[in-house]
Formats: sequence, structure tokens, C-alpha cells
Amino acid sequence: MPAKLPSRMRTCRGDAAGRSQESEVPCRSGLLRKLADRNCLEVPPPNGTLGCWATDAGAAGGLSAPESKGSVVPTSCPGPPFLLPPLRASWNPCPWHYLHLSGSYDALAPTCFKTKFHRRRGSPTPDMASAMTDRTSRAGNTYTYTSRPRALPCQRRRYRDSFLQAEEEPVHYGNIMYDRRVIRGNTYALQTGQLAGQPDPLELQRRQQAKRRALARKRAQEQLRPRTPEPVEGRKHVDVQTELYLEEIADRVIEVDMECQTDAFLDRPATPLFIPAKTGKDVNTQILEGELFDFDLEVKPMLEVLVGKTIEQSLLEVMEEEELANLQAMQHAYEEIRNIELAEVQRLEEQERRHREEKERRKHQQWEIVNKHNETSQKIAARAFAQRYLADLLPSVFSSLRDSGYFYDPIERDIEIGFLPWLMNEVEKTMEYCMVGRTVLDMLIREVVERRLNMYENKDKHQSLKPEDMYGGPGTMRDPTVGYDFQEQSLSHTQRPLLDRDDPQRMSYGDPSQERKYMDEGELLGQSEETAIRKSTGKDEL
Amino acid sequence: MAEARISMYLPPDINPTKAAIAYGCRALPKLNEELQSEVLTTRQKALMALCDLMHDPEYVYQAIDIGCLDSLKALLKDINDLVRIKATEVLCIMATHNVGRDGFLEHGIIPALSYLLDDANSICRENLHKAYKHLAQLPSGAQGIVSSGLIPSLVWKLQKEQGAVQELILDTLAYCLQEDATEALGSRVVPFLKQLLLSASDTIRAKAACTLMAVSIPLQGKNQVWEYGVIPILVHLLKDDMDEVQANAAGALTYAAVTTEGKYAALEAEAIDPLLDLLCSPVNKVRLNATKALTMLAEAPEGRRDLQSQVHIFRTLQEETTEVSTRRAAQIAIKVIEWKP
Repeated sequence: MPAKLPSRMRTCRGDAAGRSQESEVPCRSGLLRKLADRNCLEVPPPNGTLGCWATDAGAAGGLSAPESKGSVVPTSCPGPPFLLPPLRASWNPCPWHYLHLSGSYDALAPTCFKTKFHRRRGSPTPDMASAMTDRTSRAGNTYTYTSRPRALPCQRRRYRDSFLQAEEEPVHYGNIMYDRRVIRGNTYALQTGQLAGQPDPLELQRRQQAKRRALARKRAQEQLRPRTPEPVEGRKHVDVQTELYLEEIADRVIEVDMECQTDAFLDRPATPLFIPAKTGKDVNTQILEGELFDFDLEVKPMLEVLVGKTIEQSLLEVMEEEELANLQAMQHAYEEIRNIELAEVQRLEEQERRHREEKERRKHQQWEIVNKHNETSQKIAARAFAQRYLADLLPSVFSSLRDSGYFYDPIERDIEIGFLPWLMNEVEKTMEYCMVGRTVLDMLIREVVERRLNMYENKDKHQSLKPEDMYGGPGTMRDPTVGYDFQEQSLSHTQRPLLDRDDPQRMSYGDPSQERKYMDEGELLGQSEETAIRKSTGKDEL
Repeated sequence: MAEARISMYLPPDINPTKAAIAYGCRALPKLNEELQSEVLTTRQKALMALCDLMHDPEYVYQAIDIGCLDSLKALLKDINDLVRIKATEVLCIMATHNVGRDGFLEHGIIPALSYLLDDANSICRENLHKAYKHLAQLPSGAQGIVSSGLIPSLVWKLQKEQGAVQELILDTLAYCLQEDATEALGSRVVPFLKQLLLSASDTIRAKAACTLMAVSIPLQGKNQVWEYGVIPILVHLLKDDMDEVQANAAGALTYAAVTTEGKYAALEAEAIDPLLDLLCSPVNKVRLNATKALTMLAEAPEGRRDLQSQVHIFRTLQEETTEVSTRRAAQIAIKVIEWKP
């Protein structure tokens, strides 16, 4: 109700101003005071935050919440910091405190922490203003304002908090619906009540008149009052103190300089426990044993459940462990058996392998033996056959060789080798003797003939046919001259390229050249020819 | 009566190091988003929450379905140690479930994890090897590890690492080598295992003998075992105190003695007497492996000759034992010893 509001405000103001914040002793005067109490408890500073006054306004209808609840809110400020947000959220009945802030107003949220830091009064921050501007500008640039519309934050903090960063706190805005400054109701019949301190002009006038009258009255009365007589001449009235203790009277008031300094920004101490004084009538009652319930009877089902559950749980655990132990034991047993079986398998494998290898070896040996056996029998057979085959090889070979004349009769051979050459030699020798004889004879004849020729030439020197005859002569008489100057002629004969004429003669000369040792003995021409023919036949034979 | 005041303190069962798990089916998608966040603490908290959830196989299935594995792969390369440790732990827990293992194989986690083999943080490496071990217990998992070429690096790491990690690597190798041992044989695994056989720790000896058993299954392995002279060491281990070590040594000898050279090497190292002692052991696995080893040795003529006098032991073993496998093994042994060519 509007009428109530100002009066309540006034009383509240008066109360707030009149008392310090520590004393929360509630004044006792009915419902109003109760509300006032709550106001005082949550007393905002005189600079007028609006927060929970509105709460009380809204909850005036008898939110007889226990005082402890109310005390929570102020204590929530310095309380355990990390409990603070949830506590505030859960306990504070103020609907503002979940006005904060659906996500769309994120832009607004941080700014209000800044406001808490920067200012005590809720004046718009540029950010907020700009945010608002943005929103409104989006709506349409139709309005201009001297002061832009804005939402007012509620100032709850007054002490510097070192626990929390101010930015982290959610901003609490004041709800316009619960704002006391907003005038509700009809405005044409408003009580234009003055603010405190500003007097009504009518009242002013009356007071002035009253003052004048009082003054006049006082003047009048003073004139009538008996005064002390004037002092006698030469004397002066002096005031004298007549009390027991003299007092020094001086114009100057004794001034003493006292200084007072508030501590710089002390944190608000924890609110002391509010233990309300006892009210109401004291009544006591005594519950004797056995009156309410029988403990033993009642506790039985609970105990049963508790004990049963505990035992069940422990049984389960024990059984699990037992099962695990059993599994482990089984696993070990299985491992053993597995190892044993594996070893057995490997042993059998090894055995198999050895046996197999042994068998292989023996088979191999047998095979070798058989092979050898076969080979030897084959060899024997072959040998027998070969022997038989070659048995008459030897005689046949010999006979064929003998037939083809490869075997010589030793006597014959001996005769051929030994005797005949000697014979031939002898024959040759003899022939050479003959030849030599003949040669000598020829030489003799030649000498004679030459001499006769010389004699004839000397007689007949102009005939030129003599040198040719000389050639023919010496040619035909070569044989006799051979023995004479044998070596020179043989050389010159061999050197001369007269093969066609000289072949048989050459051969005959060849023979003498071979048998130089027979040269001295000399041989006949016919003998030498004979030997030549023999030699040639001998060569053919050989 | 409860107070109407709200307390300043958090409720007592909230763990500040874990992210809050959303309700119902939103839990894992939300965690997946948080895993990809830029803030370090968010990631760490999400990882811790994920660790707890992954014990449930249904969550594992859902996680793989929505693609948590890719975010985890990215996290494996993170700079922060805790992130890597937790990521490997998550993967390790997932690997204990079959769904997880299949997911690993499909999404190629193995190569991604292999980058961490050289990680500086030891817990990280331990988790990594645990994951590999769980993966290797599945045949297809072992095949995956082998085909991704990790065996040489694992063998190399076997030498470098110590203690618990060594045991894990030995286990992994034992399973993988049962699948395919060629790569390992190429990377000198036999000399390393030979060194480990002489180590001081019991478990390492046992596991090394087990891995050696797996190595000597293929023929090339048997040859390498004989070449590097491991057989005398194995015979020496037969006299060890621990049952596990004895059993595994006997098993390895069994496989190594399949080849002729192996048989003769074992006979030279006088393996018959310790093996006969092992036949009286109370543990079934030891008896079984010893029987098998003696069967192998009896294939050789010298072994057969020596063992012919001991046939009665096998007969008693055959009659007394309850295990089917041991009875069969004893039967086979008797048959082999009494075989005439």
C-alpha cells in the first residue's frame, strides 16, 4: 500500500540510521517491527540498494521464515566462497536472484560485476547502455533519450570480497515491479509527500508564526521579570561561583583533537550467531521410558537388515575370493597337465623321430648291402664272361699278327739286320775298289789323252771347239776325276742345278759322299750303280 | 535433535581427492569429460574416482564403450607423475576383467603403454607390468603382446629392473613365450634367465625356472638351453629347498632333455639321482615333473640302464598316487624303461 510505504521507509530509515549494523537486536513492536526487523537484518546501506526490500515487500504477507533464513542472506556474503553460488541460488527467496540471466543477456552479465566494483549506485555502464542501445536500435531508431532506459542492478555487496572475483558472480538486477521508487496506483490523487528534510510551505508558515509569537511572548515576559538591581556606583556585579567545586569559565571551549580513522576496508566479519531470545511460554514434558516405543522391538528389523546386508556382502566377497582361488588352483592344475602333456607329446615326437631315423638308416644300410651284393655278382659274372671271351683272344691275336708279319723270325731278322748290311758293305767296298780302280784308270787315260790333246792343240791352236769338248770331256770323264779331287767336285755337283741329268750320277756321288772312308779304296762305276740300285730297293723294302 | 544450522564443515564421507561421481548412467560420461579437461586437479580427481569404479565389470564395459580408453591413452603421456600412476592403475584394474582385456586389444593400448616402459617413476612401471601380466594370461592377449614386438624390450628390461617388477616381467614372459618364443630366443633371453636362476630370491628363481620351461618348448629354445649350459644349473636347482623351484626346474629339464644332446647333457650332469629324490616329494607337481624328466632320460640307453633298477619306485608311485595324471605319467615311465628295441 502506498501510504504505508513512505511511513515504513521513514521508520526503517530512522532505525537504520539510528543503529549500527552489528546490533541486530530486534525492536519489538508488532508486525511492522517484524518486517522492520527483517529489513534491518538485511539492512542495505543508506545509499539505497533496493534488493531485498522488495523481497520483503513481496513477502510481506507473512513469510514467517525463521530468522536463521534471513540471517543466511547476509552471512552468505562472506561465507565459504565456493558454497556461495549454490547457497545463494538455493536459499535466497528473492526472485531476482534467478532473474539472472538467461543466456541471451550474457552481454549484460559481466557489466554488473563491474558496477559493483566501480560504483555504489546503480548507474548505467557504457557497456550496458550500449547493449541496451543495441537492442533498442535493433527494434527501431524512433526514440531518443536523455537518459536511456536501463535495468538497475541491485547492490548487495558493500564489502570488498577477496575470495571471489566479482566478475564471476551473477548479477542481480532489481525488478521494476518491486521497486519502491516506482509510483503505483493512480497518479492524479497522489500524496505529494515531501521528502524528509524539506518542509511543507504551510507548515513552514505556521512554524514561523509560532516562532514570532513565542519570541514576542518571551520579550514581554522578560520585561516583567524582576532583575537584580543595578550595581552601586563604583562597584560592579560579578558572577561568582558558589558551588562546592569551582569551575573555570572561559570563552574558549576546551578543544581536544581526537582523531579517528576507519580501518581500510576491513572485511565484514562473520555474523555472530543469532540466537533469538526466548519467547513464549515455557512448557516441559517428560517422556518416560517405554512410553513412546520399545527400542528393542523397533530396532530389530533395522538391525536385521543392517546385519543381514553386511553379512551378505561379506559372504559375497568371500565367495568371490574363494571362487577366484579355485579358479587359480584349477588353472595351475591345468597348466601342469598341459605341460606334462606337451612334454609327453614332444617326447613321443622325439621318439618317433629317432625310430624313424633309425629305420631309415637301417633301410639305407640294407639297400647298400643289396646294391653291393648285386654289383659284386655282376662283377663276377662279367669277369667270367670276359675271361672266356678273351681266352682265345691271345692266340688269335698272335696268329693274326704273325700272319700280317709283325712277328719276325729272329734268325731271319738277324740275317737281315746284321748280315746283309755287312754283305752290302762288303759288296760296296769291293765295288768301290773297282770304282777307284776304274777311276784311276780313267785318270790315267785322261792324262794321256790330255797330254795328247795338248800336244795336238799346241799343234793346232786356232780350233775353238776345244773348251766345249773340254766340258763334254770333263763331263763324260767325270767319273774318273771324282776320285781325284773328290771333295771339291762333290760339293760343286751338289750345288749345281743339273738335277735332270745328274740324278743317277748324283746318287752315285751321294753314296761316295756318305762313305768317304771308302774313298781311298776306290770303286768302279758299275759297282757304285749297283749299290745304288740295291739301296733304293732296300729303302723301298724298309 | 539435529541442528537447523548449516555446518561450515563438509560431510565426513566426502574424499576431497576424488571427483564427485554423478548419478546413474551419467557417472562415466562425466568422468570421461573430466579426464579430458585441462585443469590438472580435475584430471587427478577424475582418475581417482575412476579407479574405484573400475572394480565393477559393468562399469568397465560402459567405460570402454564410451571411449574412456582413448582419454586414458592421452593421459599416459601426461607430464604429471600422479596422473600417470593413476592412469596405469586404472588400466591395470581394467585388465583384470575379460572385457577390459578385449578392449585393450581392440584399442591398441599395448603400444601406448609401451612408451612408459622407460618411465622414471617405479610405481608407474609396476602398474604397467601388472597390466601386461594380466593381459598375458589370456592367449589372445599374449599373442597381442608378441605381435606388437614388445618381447625384446621386455627381455632387456628384465635385466634392468629389480625385485617385484622383475617377477612381474618374468610372469608376463612365461605366458607370452608359451605363445611364440622365436623373438625372445633371438634377444638372448636364455643367458639372462641363466643368471636369474642363481639369484637369491626364491620367487625369482621359481619364476625364472618357469619361464625357462616355456622357452625350452620350441626346438630352437632347447638347442639354446643346451648351448648355454643351463642344464647343469637346472640339475643343481633340483636340490633347492623350495617346492616351486624344484618343480619348475624339473619341468624345464623335461623339455630340455627331449633332444638327444639335452639328454646326454643331463645324464652327464647326473640328473637322475636328484630326480629320484624328488619322486618322494609331497607336492604333486614336483612328482609329476620329476617323473616326466626321468621318462625323457630313460629314452637314452644309458639312462634306461640306470633306471632299470629303480622301476619299483615308479610302480609304487603308480599305485599310491591319487592324481590321474601322475599315475599315467608313472605308467608311461615304466613302459619306456622296460622297452626293448
